[in-house]
Amino acid sequence: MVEQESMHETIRARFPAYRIGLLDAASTQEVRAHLRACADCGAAFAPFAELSSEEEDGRLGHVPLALLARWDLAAAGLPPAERALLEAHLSGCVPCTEGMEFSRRMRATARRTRWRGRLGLAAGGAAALVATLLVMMRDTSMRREAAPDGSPSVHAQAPTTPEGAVAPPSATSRPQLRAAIVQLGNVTRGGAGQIVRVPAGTTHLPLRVPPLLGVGPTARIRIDVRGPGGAAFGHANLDHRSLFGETPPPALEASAPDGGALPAGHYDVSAVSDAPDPAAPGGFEHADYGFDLEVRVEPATP
Amino acid sequence: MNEIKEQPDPAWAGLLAFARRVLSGPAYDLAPADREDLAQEALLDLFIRTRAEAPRNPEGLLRTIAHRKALDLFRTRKRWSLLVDGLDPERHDAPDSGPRPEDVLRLRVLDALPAIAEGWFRAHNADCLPHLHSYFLDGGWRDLAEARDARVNTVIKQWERCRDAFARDLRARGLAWMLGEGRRDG
Repeated sequence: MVEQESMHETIRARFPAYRIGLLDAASTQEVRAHLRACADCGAAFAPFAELSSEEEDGRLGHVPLALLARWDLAAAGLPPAERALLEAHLSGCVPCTEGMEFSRRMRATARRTRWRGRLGLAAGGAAALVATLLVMMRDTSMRREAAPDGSPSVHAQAPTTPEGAVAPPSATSRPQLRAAIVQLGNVTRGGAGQIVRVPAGTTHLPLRVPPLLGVGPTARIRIDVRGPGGAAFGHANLDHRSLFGETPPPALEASAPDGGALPAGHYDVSAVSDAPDPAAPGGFEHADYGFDLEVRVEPATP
Repeated sequence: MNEIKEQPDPAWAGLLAFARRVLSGPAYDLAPADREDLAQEALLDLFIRTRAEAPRNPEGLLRTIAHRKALDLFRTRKRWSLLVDGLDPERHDAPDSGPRPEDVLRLRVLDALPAIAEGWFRAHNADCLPHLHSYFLDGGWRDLAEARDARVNTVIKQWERCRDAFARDLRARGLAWMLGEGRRDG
């Protein structure tokens, strides 16, 4: 039993190196055979089999941004041997070095901003304290004037109207959740709206919308595909059930009306929040959804 | 050596604030430190993409990147709970207190294994770099075999020798834990 436990632990400890193919042949075979035989370890491996966003974007072979973005802090906590290996990569990698310097600068800015904020709060707090004391002293003096015997008196205070209330944002405009333009090989991934380059000979443009996090019951998003010159080539409406993954999203595909090839050019695939705003009749709900739309460009085979 | 600017472009500071706002949404439920880290990470991602091609809508792109970074964080935590928590007997019955800083760092180093291998081959055996790039980036051996006028099997064997040399060196440096052998010191 102990030996079996030890075997599971040994195999799981190898997952990170196994997933990127850095184990030797014998260890690789051992892991493969174990994963075939052990359902628990197979399930434990599943999250390792998923690609991170950086791996999807082809950044494998560079220092992960999570480490690069806080390199100064991380490097201080690394044992010398590990630090030396990472520095060996950094010393010859221009994108990583530039990124590291950029993050260092931005973190320094964030620290300065936080300190300014704290100083500002402290100064504001002190000013408020002085103002409060002044008002209290003035009130006490006025009350003393109002009460001939000098005893404290209680005044009923009428409710004040919030004259400086911030007006709600105009809800009559139709917010467009337009965003990213990312072209990675033949797959475009990105945000709420994308510009997709469609080469000549493409007959259809399938879209995939993975579940969205945190969508409310009123969420409704319309996906529009517009080709060169603004011509419509398809649309789909998604409600919160399909957005949340409760029901499969409708099949989305842009295609030419005559079934032939789509005109080559740039296509605008945009997601528009289309839910009526209950707080503003005639307006549209504004929502900030992190959208992860995938558009696959598949040239027709000759 | 380029001189580092003391003051970053104000536009980047504005984008950083935007990333923080996006990650402050209720869908993410992030601790303040995680939110700040993810915002910085998302901004760095945008910076690197911008070096290749200026985005038409930086805020929209940043929103998407930030969302994907948050998903990466959840995925990393899932891996952590399976890898670290599940393998440490002292923590089997302990309440879930989240990853310790040393666990997070350990997983970051493991995620950096391809970068570590790239740096190692560059320094010790540059002949292996095309194999590494082909393996990690191109995903196939056929093109490399054609470029080298060699059989695919030959190229794979060459890569195996490269990989084994790298693994031997990791063991010699006391870093066998990266290969799943033994425990990490420190």
